[in-house]
Amino acid sequence: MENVKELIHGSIGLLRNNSISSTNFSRPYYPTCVVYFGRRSAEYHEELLENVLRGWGGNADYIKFYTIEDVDARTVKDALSGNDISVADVKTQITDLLSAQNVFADMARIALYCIIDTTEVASAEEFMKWYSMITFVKETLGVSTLSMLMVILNESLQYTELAKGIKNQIRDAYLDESLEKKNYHLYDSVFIFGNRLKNGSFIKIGPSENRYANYNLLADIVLLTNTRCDDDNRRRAHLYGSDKPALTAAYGFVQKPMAEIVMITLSIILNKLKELTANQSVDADGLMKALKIDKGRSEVYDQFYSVIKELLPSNEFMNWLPGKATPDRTFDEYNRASDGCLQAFLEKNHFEVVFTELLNRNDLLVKEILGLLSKQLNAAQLINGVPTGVRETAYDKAEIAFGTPDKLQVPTAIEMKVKKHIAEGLRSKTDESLTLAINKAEKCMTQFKQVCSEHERMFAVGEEGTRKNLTAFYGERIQRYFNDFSKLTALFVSILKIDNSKADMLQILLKTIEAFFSSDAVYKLSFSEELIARLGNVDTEKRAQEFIGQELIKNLDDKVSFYSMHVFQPRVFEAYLLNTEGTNNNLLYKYLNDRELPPEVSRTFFNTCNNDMAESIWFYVCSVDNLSL
Amino acid sequence: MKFVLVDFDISHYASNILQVDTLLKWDILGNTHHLIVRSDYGSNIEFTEEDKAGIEKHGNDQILSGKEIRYADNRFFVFLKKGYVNNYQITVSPAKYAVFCCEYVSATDLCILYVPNDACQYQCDVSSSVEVNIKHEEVKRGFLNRITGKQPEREYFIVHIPNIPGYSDGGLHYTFDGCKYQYPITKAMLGKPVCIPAFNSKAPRMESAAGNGYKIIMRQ
Repeated sequence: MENVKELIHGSIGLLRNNSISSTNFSRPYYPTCVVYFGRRSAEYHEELLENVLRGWGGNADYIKFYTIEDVDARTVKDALSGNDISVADVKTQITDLLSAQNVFADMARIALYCIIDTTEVASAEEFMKWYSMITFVKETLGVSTLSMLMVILNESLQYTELAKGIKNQIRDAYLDESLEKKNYHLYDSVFIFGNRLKNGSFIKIGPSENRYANYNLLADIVLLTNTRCDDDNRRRAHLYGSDKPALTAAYGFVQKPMAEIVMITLSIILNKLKELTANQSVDADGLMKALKIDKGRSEVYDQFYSVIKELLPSNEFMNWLPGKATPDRTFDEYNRASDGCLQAFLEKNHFEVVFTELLNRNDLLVKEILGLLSKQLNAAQLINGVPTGVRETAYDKAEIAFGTPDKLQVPTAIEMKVKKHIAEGLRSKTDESLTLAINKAEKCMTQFKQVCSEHERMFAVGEEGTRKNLTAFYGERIQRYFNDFSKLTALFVSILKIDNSKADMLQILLKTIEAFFSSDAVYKLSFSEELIARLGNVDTEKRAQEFIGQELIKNLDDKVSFYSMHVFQPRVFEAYLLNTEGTNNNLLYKYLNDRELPPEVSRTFFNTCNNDMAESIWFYVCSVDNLSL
Repeated sequence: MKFVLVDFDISHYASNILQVDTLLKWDILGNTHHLIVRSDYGSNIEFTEEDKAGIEKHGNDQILSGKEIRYADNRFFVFLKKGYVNNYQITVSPAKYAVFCCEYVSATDLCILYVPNDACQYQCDVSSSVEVNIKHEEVKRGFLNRITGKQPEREYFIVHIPNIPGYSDGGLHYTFDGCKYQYPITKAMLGKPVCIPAFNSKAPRMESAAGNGYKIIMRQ
């Protein structure tokens, strides 16, 4: 995970209520091939594949995905790997595809979907070049196809002219008399989805928006047009037909507001952590605990002593000191008796060993002490530095045990003096480690702030009314979860470990969110159960499902993804993608199925086995007039 | 007094400094004064802006006093008027001495110091001989021991090292043939008899720490 967007995406996955078993996956009718026209179009790939996988499961592995990035160069790339691929290799892959047994109902032709996002198309003329690319694609595939062009039309105000030009080009291509077959497209179907709706309002469509907004329309059309089912012929009849100037659709869905739930949860977690970062500091006790200084003894000092002990002169050296003193006397007495030679000997030999080994093991020691500091002290504590007074207190306490060795018997005094010398030497190493730790803490805090600000930027986009309702329902839960202060402290300490990268922090947040979601069953509810639980005022299951059904089709006629000054013909076809199994779902299915339809409209249901959302798609034919005005 | 540093030339230099017993002698030309600088044995003396500043801090009564004056850590100077002979009685050894050719004009209180280069032999190390006496400790055997023939438990040597001016602990040490330890000689051990245990009946051997300028003369 690199950023908060990915964290949110990952967390959304934790909220899914999907238990589709392999037997429930649908199967494709024709072998399938998707070709992205242009680099931006290829960015829809990940989301498209993910959504098709939800319908087809492993059967989606048979889909071939290609990208043609340049309209003139026409180099074909494998959309999965991004590698160039030769025409011969494409043919080999298609041959392999057509060799798959028991997967497809009909292998006489390939269902071909060409996808183009017009945002990066330079002109209407360039669009026409892309439009004509179908000839090259068909030649490359070398088999008969059932082709569909999906145009994601950017009608944002700065693209108005271009969008109008493209619509007119589609119209002209359809009317083109030079093709002999008048009122006919080079494709078996041309779909246009604009980001400006029939009612003039805009929606966000784009490779990055789709990932978080559950805009599954592209994948849904693949599933609807190319899934084996009782009425697959009827579906194709409605959704194909090169004699139609173009098709468009209105898209509605009711889903568990997963992104919002995650955003609210994350917002509360991050705010709580931010509150804790204030007023953090390192006191002498904290530093002593980190350095494992206990009752005047330091583990680091003792450990270093035990490592270098073998290198020190053995006590037999005392046999040849000047004077006639015996070692049963105190160090001070013995030293005086030897005219100071004992102390001088220590300095020249023992202390020299300590000095050399401190130098030799410098990096190791600093790393070891840094390791201790990282374990106990968090970035928020260290960011303000560690005052000299605090350091001195801790170091002094670590040296208390050494006392005044001069009054001890010689062998004990020598050991104490050496340890004291180590302690003095290690002060500077500890200071060095603290400086490194503080530097790391600064980096760590920057990363943490980056996570917070990324989240804030994303959180700023959101519908206030919905959020208020969701915050009341979900915010209270996360607040309650963290009433257990130990949980919050544990998270705080683990996320602000000074060694943590941004990716580590995101991973820790994901784990926390996972633990939190699994602590409350509400997070595993299906979208309809969730809605009922949250709204709380729906008395019967039937009415709840009716409410969802109404939401699905509410104002759908205004949400046609195509802006035209000319009036639209009524819809021709309705499709509902939902889980049709289970009692509750049956109620929704029944409600939708029982609705009266105008005689010219028919409808279909696609069982998604998906409890996270229900989708409705109404299809409309764009007339020549719609393409003109 | 202010010093002006000027590169030496063939008519202004000091060179060929050498030790003759307890005297330092050198060749000098074009000077009114000699500046002698003393530092640690084995060190290198170059006259820099820091030296200049260190000396200039002193008043003329001190500079012209003809006495050795400390002007930095381990650095001393003495400013001598040109005489009939160019020599200097060594005050402290072991040490490094350097001599510089100076032209001093009292009217302006300016002194031109001719800075030598490496080709000039303007500095030399002066070592110090230390005469060490070692003798076996005479054992006065008690009456009882004489009867029983019992040997005393330990053998000792009596070592005498004279006082050494400017000595610091560890400048000398003793060891024994076959012994891996070196025992530093402290200042307190100088100028008096010191009793050192024998090592497998062997007498201690005096050594000077490498490169510190002591020459040991053993007398047994």
